[in-house]
Amino acid sequence: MSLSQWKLDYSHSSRNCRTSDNSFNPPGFYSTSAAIQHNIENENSANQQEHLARKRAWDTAIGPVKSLPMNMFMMYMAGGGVSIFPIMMVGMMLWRPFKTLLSVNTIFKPLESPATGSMILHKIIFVLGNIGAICLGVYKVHTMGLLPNTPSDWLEFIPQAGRAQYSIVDDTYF
Amino acid sequence: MTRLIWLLWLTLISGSLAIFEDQVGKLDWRKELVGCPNNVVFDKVERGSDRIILTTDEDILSALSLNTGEIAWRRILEKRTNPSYTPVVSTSDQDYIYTVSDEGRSIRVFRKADGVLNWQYLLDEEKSEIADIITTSTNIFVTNSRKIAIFEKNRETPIGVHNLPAGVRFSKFVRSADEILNLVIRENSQSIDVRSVSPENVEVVRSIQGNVKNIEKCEIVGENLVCYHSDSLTVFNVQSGTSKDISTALTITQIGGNSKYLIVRSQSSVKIYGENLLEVAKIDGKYDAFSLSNDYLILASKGEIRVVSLQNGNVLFKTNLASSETRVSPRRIYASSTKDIELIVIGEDCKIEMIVIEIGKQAIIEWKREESLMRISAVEMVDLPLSESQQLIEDEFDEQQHNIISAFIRRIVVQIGQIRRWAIRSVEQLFAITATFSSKNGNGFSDFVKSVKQSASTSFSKDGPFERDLFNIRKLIIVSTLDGVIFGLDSAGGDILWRFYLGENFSPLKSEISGNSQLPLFVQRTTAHYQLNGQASVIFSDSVTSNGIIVSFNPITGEIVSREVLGGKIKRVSLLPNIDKSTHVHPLIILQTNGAIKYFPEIEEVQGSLHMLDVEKDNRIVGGLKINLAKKTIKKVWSGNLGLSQNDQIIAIKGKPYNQKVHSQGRVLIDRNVQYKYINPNLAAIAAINPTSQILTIILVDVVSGQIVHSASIGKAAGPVHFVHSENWLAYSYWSEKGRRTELGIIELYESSDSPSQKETFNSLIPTEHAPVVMTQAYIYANGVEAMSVSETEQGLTTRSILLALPCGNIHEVSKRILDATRPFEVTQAMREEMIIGYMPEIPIATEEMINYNQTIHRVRGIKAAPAGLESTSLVLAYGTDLFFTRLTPSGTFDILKDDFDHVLISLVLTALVVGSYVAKRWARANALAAQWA
Repeated sequence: MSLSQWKLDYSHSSRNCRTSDNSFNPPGFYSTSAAIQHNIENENSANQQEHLARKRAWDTAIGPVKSLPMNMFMMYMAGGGVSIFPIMMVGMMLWRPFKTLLSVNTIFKPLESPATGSMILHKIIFVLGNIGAICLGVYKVHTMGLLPNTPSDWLEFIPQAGRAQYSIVDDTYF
Repeated sequence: MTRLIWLLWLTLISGSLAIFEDQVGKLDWRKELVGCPNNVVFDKVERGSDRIILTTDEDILSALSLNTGEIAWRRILEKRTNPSYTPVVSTSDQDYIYTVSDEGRSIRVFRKADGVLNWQYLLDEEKSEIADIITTSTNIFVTNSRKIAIFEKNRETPIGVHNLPAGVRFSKFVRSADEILNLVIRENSQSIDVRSVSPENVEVVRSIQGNVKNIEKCEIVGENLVCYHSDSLTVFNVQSGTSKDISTALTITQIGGNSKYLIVRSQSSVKIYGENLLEVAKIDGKYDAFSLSNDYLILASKGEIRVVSLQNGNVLFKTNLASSETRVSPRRIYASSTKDIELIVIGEDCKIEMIVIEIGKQAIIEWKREESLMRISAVEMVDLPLSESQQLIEDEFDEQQHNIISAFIRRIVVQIGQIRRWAIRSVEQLFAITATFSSKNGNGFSDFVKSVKQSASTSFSKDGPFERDLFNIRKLIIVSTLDGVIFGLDSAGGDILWRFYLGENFSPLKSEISGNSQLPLFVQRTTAHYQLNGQASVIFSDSVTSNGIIVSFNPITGEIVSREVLGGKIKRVSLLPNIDKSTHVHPLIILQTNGAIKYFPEIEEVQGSLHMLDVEKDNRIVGGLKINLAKKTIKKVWSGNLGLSQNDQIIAIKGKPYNQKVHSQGRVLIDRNVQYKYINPNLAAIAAINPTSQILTIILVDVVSGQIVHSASIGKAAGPVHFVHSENWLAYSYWSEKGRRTELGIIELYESSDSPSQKETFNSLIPTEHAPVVMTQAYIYANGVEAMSVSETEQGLTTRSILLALPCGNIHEVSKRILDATRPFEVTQAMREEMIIGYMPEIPIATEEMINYNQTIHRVRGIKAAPAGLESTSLVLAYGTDLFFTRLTPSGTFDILKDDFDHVLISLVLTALVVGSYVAKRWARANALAAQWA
């Protein structure tokens, strides 16, 4: 969608339009000069909007990366204890980027314009930023000891060893 | 401060283990016993219930109700250390019982009504083999092998003590016409000294010449001393100081009588002698016991009771007791006659029976008590057979057919069967409820609810079909006793379901290590194979030929399947781990003293080899035997003295149960690494004690390879030593002479860190690069320990608990988490988060941890734990003077809902919520619609 969706064109006149009759114009208004003026302004704002659109696109793309330090700080403040609030925070931390990752295209759709051109680079950066956020969350889960990545987590799955020899320790009688 | 917090935390944990008041007796039961009586006194009172007062072989003084056989009171006195020493002797008057106990050392006076100790006095520091006591209206006279003491009845200090000369072998009182006389026979003496005993003085009045060959065969009969030797009888008249010999022409086995009559029993007849020792009558027949009461002589044999007149020997009454084949010959009988004759029969199997004989009419067995349960040797718990529906399910999956239609039809049939069973059961229950309701018409709603609850609980726990319950918690407890009786007990309430006696020539096996008698019991086939009956066996020896005998029986019904007499003495007997494929029976392997190896039952296809630990106790040599099962040959693989010195005495050896399940193969460290357990199934623990240097040595040795895995010595230690060997640890208790206290030690074995952590099979012959890591710790235990055991669960997942029987009669459950070798000295924050308990030198003893709360059981000799179907639950039977059975949940009831879980409330709330939400939904819709219209 382009930013200039609609415009009021005073320069254009048609027969059944009131503006076609100059006598109805307010005093001092000349439709031709207005059109020229408009043209000049239009040229300026088109440049500006192009610039703005690009800037917005980049802002969106870099957003996740920029929030990483903030997230790090929050994770640090949450502490290592396994209790409800840190768990909720870590859960949100993991879930939000994941959800955003699933809807990358929808997020970038409003930013698409001929001015910004292809958004593939933006998307890559955006995805990388989100993956970084997820990694941060996973690391936090690891430091909290919730990841089954140590031998102790798989201990209960080790089967009991069989035996090669049988032995009996019993009483002797007399 | 932190320690205090931990202590607080511990008490909180243990608090949750205790049971609530309304749970008392719900999951547990206790059976109180008195033991095998050696003297019975009838105590008839004018008011209140009649009683009998017993002193038993187990040195217990007790009063039983004569009408019901229930224990009125019971006093457990010191147990004799030597069975040849005197048991408790007692005499009684109107209100009190006077006893000499503790091997002739203490005199104690108990109140008859309730068994309260009135006073006691320590007569002697030293033990005495003999003792006697007699009372007059004002005085008590007591004798043991060293002195005669005279007491006044209400004073607890003697008013006179007379020392006897040395070497006294016999000292008894005789109540003569108007005085008390004391008879003393000294060692190698040709005369009997008669002393007149009075509160004022004790003096030798006369001495009777005569040679007493065997003092054990002398008895006081009336006012005379009567001694017998093969067929000759010598009667010493105490009053006149004369003696008279008579030949009875019978080999005398027992004498008895009163002041008028003398009864002589032999193997084939009983003779009655009247005044002046004239023979009154001779009754032929084999009788095992007799008793006198007023004018009656009561004779008892295996199947018959006969009442005979003392005056002329005429038979007044004769009765055959029912089912004489299953009856056991009586050991002793005691009679009391008023209108009817009340007879207490004590069988060879320690069964007490009370029989009321109405002369000329009938004899009724009023009650019986099984007192051999006091001498339990081995316990096994067997699953109950599968229920009908469970069998159907088993059947369904047993079929190898893969035809869909037939499988479907089978499924439907099974389900119809289940529905039918459910319907029958609910109809029965409904009938039971209506019956209880109609019988208790109109006692209010609460009574009705109570009765419904009661009927529901009884129909499920007691009267229900004898089959496995949902969680396999109800079991059949098989018990073998040293009196030769095998019992089947219902674990739901302790009822005796069946019993059988092993026969007259029964003699238990004697253990070489501990010196105790044992009656090994093995479950060879469980009830898991539902098409086949279970099979269990007991092994004992013949008292005459000392050949081994194996009796195998069905554990559920108690039917004897076979009785096999072996051709020699038994040296070892064990259950083979191999299973006979066709019969699913674990055979027994029997090693005889002559070196022969036998299997019971005989099996053809057997391969492989078996290792055994061989301990020569006297030579302190430990060895490993390898038995080739197919060829039946024994080879000594290794042997040695394991570093035991000359003075070391091997006191115990312990292996591990061969099928013990260990769920967790390691211990999680604080850095979340794993320290793997060193679980060697072939490990045996040997304990030896050196009494001179007071060193307790514990050696852990691999039976297969002979490798000493660990050896520990504990200085300044003394017995009693108890230990438990399980998983990768060994817990032991000993008396520390240094600290003068009981201490518990624990040894834990772990794989050294760089050894391979995961193994398919454990092979003792594969050497390890490093020795296992050994962790040890010791704790103070502020109580004595009588027996030690460990809980067992189905999968070995639940943390084990160590059960300690205390001398005060409690059983203390100590979690393995507390008796742990790895408790750190300093607890860091991380450890605290992992709930690791820091080291404290003392193991706390909280009353909530006593699994038998106030149901004390004394002289515990063993605790048997068996797994239930629920992983959280372990079934425990402790046996000693009493039996106590309970369910144990070492880690809490994590897989069952709490007892007080309110199903009704929760389902009510749930339905209310569901209904409420529907109603609210409609309401909201209607409201919204109304709002739109408005």
